[in-house]
Amino acid sequence: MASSRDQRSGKTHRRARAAAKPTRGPSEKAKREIRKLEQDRGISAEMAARLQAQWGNQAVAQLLDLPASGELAATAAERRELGEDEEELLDQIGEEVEGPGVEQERGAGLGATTQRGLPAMTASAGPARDQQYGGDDEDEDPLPLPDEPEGTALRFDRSGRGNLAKLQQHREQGRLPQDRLDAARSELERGSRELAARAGHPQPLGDSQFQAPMDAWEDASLVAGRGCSIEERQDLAGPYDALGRPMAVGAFVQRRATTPLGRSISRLCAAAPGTLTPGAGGLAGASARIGALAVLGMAADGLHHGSLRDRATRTALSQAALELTLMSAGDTAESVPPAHTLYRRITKQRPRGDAPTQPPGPTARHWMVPALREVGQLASFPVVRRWSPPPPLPVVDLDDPVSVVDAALRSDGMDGAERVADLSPLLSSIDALLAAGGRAQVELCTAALASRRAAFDGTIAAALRDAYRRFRAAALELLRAREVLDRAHLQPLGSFEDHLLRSNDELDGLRRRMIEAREDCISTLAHIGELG
Amino acid sequence: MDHRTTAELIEALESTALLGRGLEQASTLRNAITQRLTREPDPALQLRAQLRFGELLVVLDAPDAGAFLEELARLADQRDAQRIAARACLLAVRAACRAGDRPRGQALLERCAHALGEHPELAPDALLAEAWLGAMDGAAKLGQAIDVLPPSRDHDRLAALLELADRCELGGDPYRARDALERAFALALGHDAHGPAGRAALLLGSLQLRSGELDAARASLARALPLATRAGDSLVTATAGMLVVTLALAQRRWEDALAASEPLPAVARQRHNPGLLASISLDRATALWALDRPVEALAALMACSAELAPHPRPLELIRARFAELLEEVGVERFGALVTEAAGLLRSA
Repeated sequence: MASSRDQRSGKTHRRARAAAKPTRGPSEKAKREIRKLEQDRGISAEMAARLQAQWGNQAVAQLLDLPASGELAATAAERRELGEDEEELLDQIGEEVEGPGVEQERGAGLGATTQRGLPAMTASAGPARDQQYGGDDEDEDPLPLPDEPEGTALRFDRSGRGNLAKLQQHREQGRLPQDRLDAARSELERGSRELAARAGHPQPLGDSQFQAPMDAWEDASLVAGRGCSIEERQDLAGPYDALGRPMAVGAFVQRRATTPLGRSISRLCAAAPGTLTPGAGGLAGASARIGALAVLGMAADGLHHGSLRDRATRTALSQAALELTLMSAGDTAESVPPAHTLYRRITKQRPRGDAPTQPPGPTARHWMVPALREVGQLASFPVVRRWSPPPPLPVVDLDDPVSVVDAALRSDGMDGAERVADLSPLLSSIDALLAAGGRAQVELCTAALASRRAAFDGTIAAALRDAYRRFRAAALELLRAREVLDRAHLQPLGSFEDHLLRSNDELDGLRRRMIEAREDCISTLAHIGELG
Repeated sequence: MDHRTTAELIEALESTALLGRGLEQASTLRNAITQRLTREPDPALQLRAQLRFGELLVVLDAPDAGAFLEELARLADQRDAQRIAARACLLAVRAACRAGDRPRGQALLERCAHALGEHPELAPDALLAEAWLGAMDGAAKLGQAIDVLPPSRDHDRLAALLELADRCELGGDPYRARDALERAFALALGHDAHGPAGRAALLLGSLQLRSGELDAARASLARALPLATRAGDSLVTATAGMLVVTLALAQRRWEDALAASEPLPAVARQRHNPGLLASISLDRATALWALDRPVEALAALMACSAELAPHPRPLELIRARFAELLEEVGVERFGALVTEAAGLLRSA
């Protein structure tokens, strides 16, 4: 009996000591495997399929075109991207996505394949589209959100999300609102023309440089005969509505104004209490009043840089940009192309020259950058859920039976050296980052369209292309990391522990690189927005 | 001819609050000091004077205030005038925040951080700078600064009170916000600073409007209007005027609405604000129509239409109102009213 007890105790003791002692480095085989994967420039078909699900056919096509070695920036695929061949390819893909065949493909579901014969992810098999497009928070993976600069998704006006949901609902029901698409396109073109027309003229005088609150006063027939009671105001909330527009301007300006008076007047507009919209004057009177107040709210911060602030406000409210981008991005998760391709589809302009590298001035940084963030519905890049090794088992006091029993209960029945690596947090972080990278293509294209001025189309597209290249490089590394981690997942921990600990920092670094790519692009777009 | 020495003149400038009457005195002193220092240069006195001039630029909201103060800080650093350099930096923080450049403001605050320990008298300036930069406990910092600022810094106290009111309202404490605005109003009025007093009254009225205290809002706005008009502050005149008219319309006090709207078209023209012109004309037409003076109502809209011809968007709202009135009285009556209104306009 005693002998048997001693044997059991001795086994527990050895197990506890094995778990407590420092882990040995990876075996030679494991090292070779890691090295091979880290050096491998290509990616497996499985990984490609994963990326395809998150970034889309074109992204995958370009990734698979990468040679086994050499710098990313100098690949044949990228050179082609800038050339006519690539444009034709993009056109073909665009037609595939936009043409009538796409509906059939959607119906076919799993039967759809990409150009390269990879199985196309259907909406049901791929990540949720909300995640893809930065949709409602409720549907997103509840990863911890980082501290990001002000104006990110955490502070978004929920009405934007509502409109996005509505738009998606239309699309899911197969009702692509062509008239809205046309309206959105003509709105963007009109805005671009107006800005071009203003370019040769002197600065508008006084308050007349603030036009944003009046943009929805285009058609008397949409205003006449309408009231603005509480019930009626439910339908007047959008930024294209005579009353909703100045209210939306007030909501944006109150967050940017630098004087108490500017904030106070804008706050009044944003709330537009019933007292300010008495029924007697109808919708015309209420809209004019809130619009005039919104202009005064903008003017309260001074007339300095008024046109730039006005442009930024219009940019922030350009829902047309979001609609056009979403519709051009296609209806299924696999069809999200790079941002510059989306931009080219809508504007017919391809990248030209180099995007400017200087940062925007203070006013553009304060007004234009948040406007681009808001209109693009920039979401947070999920924080990497760090992996930590399981705690070592405590040393068991063999003379204390309770300690021995506790240790036995705590143990998972395996020897310490055989404890498995549960890498689910890291793997889900990688998936979330890849999804965020895909979502960023839509976000950036939307921001670019909203701030569009035709004269700078080529430069804007170049900024999007540059950002995409950086996203793509980071995504490649994420995929390689994922392949390594996939192999280590639920495998004995010992040989991989050091590598896994390093992976935490590597993934953090890749996340930072993606954020920087997006922020630099927004900064460039803001700088372009302040030109002229 | 002022017989005071340059140092005495600078002391006088430093002890004058840059508000209302003080602002006028400061302007006179500034000219005198500039002349004196041109004739008898004195680097140390020059720095002191420049610091107060920079403060004046901040109070007047001059766009180049920040650049001026940063240059002064650099000069003061060169001459080892640490206190002046630090104070110039702290003042430049406010200018940077006003221009929406908080990163610059943060850098300026960090630049002078080491000097703050050696010059405890700069503590109120540091509190204010942190508050302008949006510190989480900004309201508490503003409150502390307000309590310790000397009377010669009443211009800063006023700015801090207005900012404090804003923070308190956003923080869900409208009572404290109202108290801060009342104090700001009294402070500005005590210095005969009509413009700032008008702004404080308008802010108070807006706060009361948002809280649904319509009578109190009406009283505050009524206080703001004459002060702003006297100070030539067209922004406050226009805003407060519009709100007074709106309140009158909401309470169906048509005559009051008409009377209050009388001076506003001129203000709208002065500010080049077509939306304001459209709004006032629509409000006047509403009041006149309710008073059964349809010809004058249509004349007001027609006059506005002519003036708004280069501004198609606000004009659409006037057109919408025309369409509503046409619908209300029928084509025949409307035609007759328009003819009469045209005659009225010609005779005017």
